[in-house]
Amino acid sequence: MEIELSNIYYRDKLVDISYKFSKWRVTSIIGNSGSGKSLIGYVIMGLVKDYEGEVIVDGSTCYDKYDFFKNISYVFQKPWDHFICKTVYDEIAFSLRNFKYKEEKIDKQVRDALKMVGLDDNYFTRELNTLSSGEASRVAIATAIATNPKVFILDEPTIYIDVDMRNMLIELIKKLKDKYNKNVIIMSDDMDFVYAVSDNYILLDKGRIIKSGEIDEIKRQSDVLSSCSIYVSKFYDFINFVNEYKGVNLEDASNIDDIVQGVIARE
Amino acid sequence: MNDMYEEAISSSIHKLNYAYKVLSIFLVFICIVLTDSNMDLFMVNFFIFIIMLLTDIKFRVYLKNISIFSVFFFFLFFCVSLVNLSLYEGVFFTVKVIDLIFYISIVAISSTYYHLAIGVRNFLFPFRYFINIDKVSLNLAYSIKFVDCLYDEYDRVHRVSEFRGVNFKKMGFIDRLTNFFNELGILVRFAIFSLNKQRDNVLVKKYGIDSFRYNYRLNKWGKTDTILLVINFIVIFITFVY
Repeated sequence: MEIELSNIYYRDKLVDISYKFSKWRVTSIIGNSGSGKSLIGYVIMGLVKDYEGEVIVDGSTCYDKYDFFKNISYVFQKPWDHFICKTVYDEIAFSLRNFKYKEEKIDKQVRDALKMVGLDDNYFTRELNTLSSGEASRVAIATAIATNPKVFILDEPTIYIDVDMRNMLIELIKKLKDKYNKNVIIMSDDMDFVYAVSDNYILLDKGRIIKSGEIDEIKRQSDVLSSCSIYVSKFYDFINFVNEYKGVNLEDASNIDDIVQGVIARE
Repeated sequence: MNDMYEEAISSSIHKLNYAYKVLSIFLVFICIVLTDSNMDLFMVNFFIFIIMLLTDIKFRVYLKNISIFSVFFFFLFFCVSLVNLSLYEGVFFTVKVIDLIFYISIVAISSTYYHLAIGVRNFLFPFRYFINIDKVSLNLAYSIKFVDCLYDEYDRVHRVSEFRGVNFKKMGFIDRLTNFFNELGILVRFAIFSLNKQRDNVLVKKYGIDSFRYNYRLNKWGKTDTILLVINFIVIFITFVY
């Protein structure tokens, strides 16, 4: 499923947003707080109504909402906005029941989804309001995975999660893209996470798209990110520094070892 | 969900004394109980409408708060009409209840839980040796404020359940009929809004309490409170006399 935004305006929060989310790619929407990242997700999901412009799905503006929602999963920034049911099991099974899956399949999907986010079967009967922020975030992601949609929209997925879950989420997103050919849209200002998972990026500032393209482009442009008040990854900042002052080209470096080897080779 | 895009409003009604706000609910309730003619009903409605305008909040917000009780109103209308064997009685009683909820809605939207709790606490102060007035006042404040919260929660659950597979389009006859009236309601609301002089800011201002700039210790009884209290008593007098 391909989603395209065409000349979206929403009050003064989004100004002339046009972008086509490519198939089987992970696209990150980067921007500081209040730049309109979440709002783009709201527009796609129809959570805000009074916007101008068009959301085009598979080349058409007239698409069936029911089929659309069957093929897309949205995870809110605050996981509690997501929850409707009482227990973890019911919450994950909620969408599956609505999409009329058989009970045996629902059970399997729920177990698989929970396993993928690192929660065991003991969580089935846990009440949602007893979960910690990190656990709630995992359950929200599990609800998104369970329905096996074509597109995932994750709004600030790393905000409540711990390091283990963060690494797990990185692996999960990579697996979703590479193994299952899913389309993932991430709204985040966590640049280390964005660099780890993304193929493409959109840089937003005050509701406008400043830049967009392949993620490798923005890795070397710390000044652009700084001008939009976004935290610059120290790792890539250091690579840029070495490149600028020592003349060592470390474009392919992905970890500290690569940097050290590159510098030794230069010496 | 949309709250992050709303701007805070600080109208004269927002700044009223908290004790007056709570007292006024009681006074409006008396007015409504005393209402027994069309003239009375007009008077009470007019008073509530003026207060609504003074709040500087869109009429749409109040309608949303009322719409959540629509099934209850229908049930009430049906029961009262059946008991009195008169449609007029049914309409009359239902309008009175709608008025009461409108007024509670005004107070709830223009105050926080904390403000209302302070207001209730002022009245319960003499009983402080017998009951835990802080607990009771907070409890009552929540019960007043719930009118305002119901729609937000309904809206959240409705939207979330829609994109998690609940198909609101495939509906039965009754649902379709309800949906039709809802859509008709939207048109009526739109017509009302187009008359509103501040229509440019439709949806921008929903509600908001300027509590950051407003110290409750400075919330003394003021001239506006006295004027509104007098008007309240005049309305009670008129409803009593007619």
